[in-house]
Formats: sequence, C-alpha cells, structure tokens
Amino acid sequence: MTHATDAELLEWALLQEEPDAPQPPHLKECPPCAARYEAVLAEQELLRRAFVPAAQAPRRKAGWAAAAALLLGALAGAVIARATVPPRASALSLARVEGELRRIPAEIESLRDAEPSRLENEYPRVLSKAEGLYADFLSLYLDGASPLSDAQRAEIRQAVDTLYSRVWEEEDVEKLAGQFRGALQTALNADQFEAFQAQVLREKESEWAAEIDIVIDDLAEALNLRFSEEERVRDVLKARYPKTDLPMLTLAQWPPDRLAGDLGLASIVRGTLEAGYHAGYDAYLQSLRDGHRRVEKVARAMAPGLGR
Amino acid sequence: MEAVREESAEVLARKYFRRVYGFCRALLGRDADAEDACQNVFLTVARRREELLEIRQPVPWLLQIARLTCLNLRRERDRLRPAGLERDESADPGPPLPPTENIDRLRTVIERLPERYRSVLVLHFQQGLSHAETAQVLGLSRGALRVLLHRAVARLRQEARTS
Repeated sequence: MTHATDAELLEWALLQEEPDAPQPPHLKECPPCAARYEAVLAEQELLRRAFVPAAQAPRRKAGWAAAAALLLGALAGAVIARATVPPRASALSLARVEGELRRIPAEIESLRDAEPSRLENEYPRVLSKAEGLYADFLSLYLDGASPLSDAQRAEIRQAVDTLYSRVWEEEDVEKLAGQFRGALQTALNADQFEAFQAQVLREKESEWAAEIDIVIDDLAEALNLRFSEEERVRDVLKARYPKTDLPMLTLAQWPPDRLAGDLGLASIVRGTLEAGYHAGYDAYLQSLRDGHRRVEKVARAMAPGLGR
Repeated sequence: MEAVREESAEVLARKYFRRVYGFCRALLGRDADAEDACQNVFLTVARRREELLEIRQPVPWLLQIARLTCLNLRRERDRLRPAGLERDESADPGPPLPPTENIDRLRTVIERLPERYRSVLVLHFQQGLSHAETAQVLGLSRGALRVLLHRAVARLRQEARTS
C-alpha cells in the first residue's frame, strides 16, 4: 500500500471544513496515515490557538453598559434616526429622552458587582427611571400620531408601571406582552394604537438581532472564543433564540440570562462549542444564573414599589 | 449569508469591530496599529456606504478593506525597509509541527512570514472563513487560494523548524 504524502495530508486537512471536502478512503484503510492525519489536525488546532491572543479586541470598559446601550439605542435611537417619527412628535424631546436612556446603562453597569445593600437601594431606582423614560418615550411617540389627552398619558404610565413591576414575576412573557398591548389598546384611539403596533413591529427584528449580538459578545468575551466559534454560535442562536412579542421587556432583563434560563438553548449552544470550551461555558452559565438570582431577588422584593 | 441592505456603517462597525480588529492585529502585530487600521477601515466603510446596498457578504468585504488598509499602514511603516524576496517553496511541506511546539515562538515565526502568507493564515485559522470567502478577500481564484494556503503552511513549518 502506498502511503499518503505530507502534501496530501495537509491538503485534506485544509479542505476538511469545505462543502466539497474529499473523504479519502485511504485514511480508513491505513492506520499509520490516519495517525499522521490526526497530527496534521492537531497542528491546525495549534495554529488556531496561536492566533487567539491577537484576536482579542481591547476589553470593553463596561460590557453591561455597552450591551444595554445597544438595546436602548435600538429602542430610541433607531426610531429617531429612521425618520419614521410621526411628524407631530417633538424630535427635540425624543432626543432628550434618548439621551437620558443612554445614561441608564452606565448606572446599571455600576451596580453589577455592587454590595448587596447598594444593589437593593439603587437597582429599583434605576429600573424605575428606565421605566419612566420608556413611558415618556411612548407618550412622545404616540402623541405624534394623534395628540394624547392627560388621561391617556396617565394610562400609558400605568401600563408601563404594571409591565415592569410584573416582568420578574410572570414567567410567560408573551402573556405579559399581551396584557400590556391590551391595556394600551383600551387607552389609545385607533390611530395611536396603530402607531404603537407599527413601532413594536418595526423594532422587533432589530431588538432580536441586538440581543443576539449581546449574547455573542458576552459569551465570546467570557470564553475567549475564536471568531469561527462565534459564528457557529450565532447561527445556532439565529435559529433558536426566542423572539419576544414586546421587545421593551428586555430593558429589565439581561439577554444572556435567557441563555442561562433556557436549558434547551443552553444545551444546543454547548453542543456547538468545542469540548475545550465546555468547562468555561458551564462556569459562565452558572455565573449568569447567580447574577440573575441576585438581581431578581431585589427586583421581586421591590416590584410593588416600582414606578413613580 | 444575509444581505447588508439595512445595515448602516455604524451597525457594521458595532457588529464586526472585534472581528476586524483581530484581523488587523494579526496582520500588523501591534495594538496601536490595529486600532489605527480599524478606525480607517470603518471610515472607509462610511465613505463607501452606497456599496452596502450591493454587498451580500459583509465579512469578506470588510476584511478586504481591512487588508488593504493594513497593507497601506504597513507600507508606510516599513517604507525604508527593502522588501524581502520570497523563497521558492517546494511542493513537499514536510511533517506537521508537533503539538508541543511553543505557541509564543510560533507567533514570532508567523509575524515574520511574508504578508500574503500571513494574510491567508489569519483568514483561515483566525477568522475561520471558507476558501471561497478567503479567495474573495485576497482577490484569488479558489484554486490559487488552495495553493497559497498550502504554501503558507509549508513555509510556516520550514521557518518553525529552522528558527
């Protein structure tokens, strides 16, 4: 039997992830060549590792804040930037609300590892502020479609307050979204409600994509993932990551927590990662769960007091 | 791959910054240079935003811009240094490097490889691009890309053994 040359083994290894990769039967029939081929694959792994440190971007100064900024940016910024704001809405006021919303993440970031007492004091205040800003945003936006009465503004605020006070208690987020939508439908006239529906629909896809970006970013940073791994995880998340019927709910939740809370999704992502990442991934999920429980405890205790 | 259509230059920067940065860092070898390169890449993207409508594969397109940006920066940096001649590579790459090979030493060897070899290795091993995508970035046919990749690994093996 003629053994494979080094050139052939290298060629097969370099092609192995290509759609038209050859399946050389020789490797099945020749244990020495199969062993040499394994050595080439091991060398490829070595080369991938050699590039890992160079692949690291400067560490984000405020991971949580940056991530939340993406969400908030998608919430407020996108609406303003796309020139889809109803003509009567005051762009200046919307810009002000956006500016304040953008400052929220920095406050949340500062609480992530805070002492328990500070977390208990500050988190409800920040969440309440975010909630107020969302209500302001919604009022300004809808007022542009058709002027709101004072009573309608109060009802919007009440609906947002109820939404945020229940987000930690109600596990069925779709039900919560439906209730919120129902409350707004009762409070708003047809034009206003149509504007709300259109706004939510428009933001739904971008919010979902922004959440996936956040999950990937966080995971990549935690596990020091190679880019090819990131892309594999991204594909899985695009296929499996749930779409929330009301994207604003994510203001109160940290997207990677969804990964930790969804055993099926967490397991599929784990299966996508190479075995060398598994221990780190498990520890990452555990840290997410711990963090989630910590904030959840505070949020549940304070839920009735949230809002203005 | 999804179309870029709706993605603004800002969204691209947000989404692919780490990836482009990693690529530039691997080609240029220094954080400061990689940061300069990234800034130039996304400025170029912003200037060429009308092309976004036609781009279906943002990653190869971005890395193509990144590679040219890095080449320009490197050329500027090495202006006074004469370009080294590339050796004629033999077809036989020799056996693979052992798993005990020192990673830091390997990185030094990679740093010293000619730019085209380093580029193709980064695109393949770091960025995880397919051969078709890598060929697109480097402006080669798939056949030429395979030859280049093969030669790059062969040259890397030779340099690692002799350094």
